Amino acid sequence: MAKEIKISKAGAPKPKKSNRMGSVVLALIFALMAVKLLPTTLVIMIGLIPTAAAYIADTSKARDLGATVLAMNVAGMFPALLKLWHGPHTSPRALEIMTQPLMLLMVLIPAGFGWLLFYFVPYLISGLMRRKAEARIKSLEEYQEELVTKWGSEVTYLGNPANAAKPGKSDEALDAA
Amino acid sequence: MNPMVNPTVATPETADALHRRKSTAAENKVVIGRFEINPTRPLNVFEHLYAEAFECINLDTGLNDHVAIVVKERYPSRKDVIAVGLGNEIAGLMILRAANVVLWAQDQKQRYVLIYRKPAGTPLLQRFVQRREALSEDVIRRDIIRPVFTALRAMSDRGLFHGNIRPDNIFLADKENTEVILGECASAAPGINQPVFYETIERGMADPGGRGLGLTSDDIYAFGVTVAVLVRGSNPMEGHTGPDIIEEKINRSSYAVLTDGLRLSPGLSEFLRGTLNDEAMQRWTINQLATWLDGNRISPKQSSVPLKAQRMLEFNGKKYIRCRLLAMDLHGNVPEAVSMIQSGMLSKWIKRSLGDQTMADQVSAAVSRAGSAGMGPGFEDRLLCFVSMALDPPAPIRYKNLKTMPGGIGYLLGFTMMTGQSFQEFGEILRERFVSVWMSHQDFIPPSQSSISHQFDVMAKTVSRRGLTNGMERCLYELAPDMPCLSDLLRECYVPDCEFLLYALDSIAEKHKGEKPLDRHIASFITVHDMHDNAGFLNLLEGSSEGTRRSLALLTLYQQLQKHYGIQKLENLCQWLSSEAEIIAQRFKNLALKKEIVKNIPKEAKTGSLTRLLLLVDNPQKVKKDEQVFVQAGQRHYAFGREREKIRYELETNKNFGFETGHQYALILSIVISVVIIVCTFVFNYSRSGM
Repeated sequence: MAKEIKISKAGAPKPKKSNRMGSVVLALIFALMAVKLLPTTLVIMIGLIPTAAAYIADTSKARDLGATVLAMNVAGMFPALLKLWHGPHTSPRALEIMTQPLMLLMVLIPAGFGWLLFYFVPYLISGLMRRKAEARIKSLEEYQEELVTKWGSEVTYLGNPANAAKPGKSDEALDAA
Repeated sequence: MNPMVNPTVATPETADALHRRKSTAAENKVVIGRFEINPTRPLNVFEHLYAEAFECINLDTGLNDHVAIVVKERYPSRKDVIAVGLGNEIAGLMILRAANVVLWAQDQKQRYVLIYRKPAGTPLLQRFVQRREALSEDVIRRDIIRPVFTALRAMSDRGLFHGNIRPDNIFLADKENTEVILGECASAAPGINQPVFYETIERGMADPGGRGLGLTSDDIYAFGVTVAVLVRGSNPMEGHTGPDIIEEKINRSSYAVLTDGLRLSPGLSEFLRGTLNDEAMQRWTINQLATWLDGNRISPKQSSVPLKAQRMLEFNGKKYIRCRLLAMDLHGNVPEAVSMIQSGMLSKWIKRSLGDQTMADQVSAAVSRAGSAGMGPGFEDRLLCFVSMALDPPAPIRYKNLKTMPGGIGYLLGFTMMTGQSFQEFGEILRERFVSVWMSHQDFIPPSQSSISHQFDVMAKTVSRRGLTNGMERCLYELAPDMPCLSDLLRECYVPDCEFLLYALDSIAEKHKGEKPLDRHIASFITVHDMHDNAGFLNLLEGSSEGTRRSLALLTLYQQLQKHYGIQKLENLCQWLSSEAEIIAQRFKNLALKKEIVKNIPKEAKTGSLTRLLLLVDNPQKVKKDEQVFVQAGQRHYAFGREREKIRYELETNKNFGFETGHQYALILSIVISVVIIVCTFVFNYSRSGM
């Protein structure tokens, strides 16, 4: 284990450097593409406002709200992008598309649906999981009862480390039994 | 195998006798092998205080030529003599044909029976009429001294002590009144039936039950007394009490008392002088007796009479001139004796009137020794005991009401236990090592008795130790190996050894089902008599706090005994021990297995094999497997419990239970829907543009 750690430490600087470099290169490429494809960038930036709002509003550890809204948001934004890509690819046209009420509605409704999914699905899942947990408790109790039926009440003493640490007590219990 | 009885006769007969009780009871006759005892025909000549005698028919020949000596209650019989007598016919001695425990039809109790070939003639003297016509010296030499000597030498060669030589126990061998044979000595404790007159001075002073095993020289003395009585034709001390006889012998010497007024030939006089010498060291040995019989002259030493004091000492209203007599009577008035000793009067008398400085020093040492243990309760008894030892070293140990030789302590303890009296005095004798003190006073210890001191040292520890196999019961069986088991459980049984113990327990099982087949007597008896190592089981029996272990130890102990003695069937004992087996079965954890084992116990008990019963409840593989699976089951039970509690805790304390997973499901669902929408939009869009 120690060896593995050493190896990973020794090899660490090189990947880190390349990663950082990769990120920078990727960011540059994205920036260049965003500039190059400015109309598309504009549609995406306006369309993803609900996602940004979800990321800001989500204070949970997993931050699943943003991702959930994002998925639905992307689906809602897709018709606007298709419309842009089928016509002249210019910034005024992009703004024109995104200011159309129908298009805005098409972007916002799926995002809102994503938000709803995030808030209501957990209640459903939690209910199901509670039922499952209760069923497990019941089956565990049944298993334990089966063991007691087969081995007697002594079996309840034996596995407990607290009893195992005091053999005298255990012996007395066995005697009494 | 039991050394006491002939294996070819005794063991199968025992089983027979005990298991055929109904048939024998109905016929009122008892059968031992090829001998049939008729309890309606007593033979008074052979009976004594501790045994009855009956006619006995040899079933092979149909002749009524045997006598059955039936030991009363649980009195001891002589294992050493029986073991030798069953294997060998000793010339000049009544021939022992069988010895066994039988169920006595009269009282439905087990008795120990010895079958002897009956002498054809009568005893030389009737027991209660100690008179007959005097025998001539020739007859005595030829027909009495020689055959009795032959028997005596045969016994001496085998290291046996007879202890029962007297005219009424010597029989004419046939009706022609020729040679005689010596009567039996095996049906009672050594010397217990011997009148004081026929005992040496020392042994005569002891309680009859406390005489213990004597030496050949004691037999030679009794032989001498017997011859003297036959020469005279009567007992010169007839009608006298024991103390009178002893006093007379001390004052005048045994030889003088027995030959007073007799006209003896020089040869016979020499014989009596040699055999009746009161000093054991000066008495003839068996070889000197043989030399005399061969016709050679031996000049025996004159029997010396103890020193006479110049001035009499008055004690308890009586005047004493010999310290042996004073020692004998010292317990007659304890307060006076104590004040006499403590005032120094006794020491002064010994010094001045007897002129015996050594004895005076020994008395002073005895006083110091008695005081060293404290002047509290028991001091006076200790004092008198030690002082009497100093005054008369060869005499028995005299403590409180007991007068016993060291070798007789065990027997006397047994008799006391049988009568249910307190045996506290015996505990004190052993605990305070009186025997060691007694031994320190002796000038000579015979080699055969040299181990006594060590044995009593061990007993001093044994009596003080607690535990099932220690205490007075253990001392009893160690000191008196002839004693049958005196357990209260075995009141109706006669148990001379461990093999008979198993049969006896089997026979009483039905009556004692609620009790355990073991008590202090039985545990001590097994410890002493069984040569195998049972210490582990017996320690577990008393030491373990766990019931299962105790029961297992008990069952294993008896299983081992059954195995060692090769007894096939002990059905009743098995059923008795079934309750123990049920306790052992409780250690199986698997309830179904336990139930099945408990169900099979009666079936196995019916086989009469304790090994099978033990194997059922203590099969090591089964026990081990059961333990292992039980441990696993316990661990599983614990794991289940923990998991259950963990889930329950989570449900109770975590309000957002399952929400995290729910969010993940929402994300997945969102992605899936998104993909579907995108694909649908894409397809719809392309299909429209394509059109």
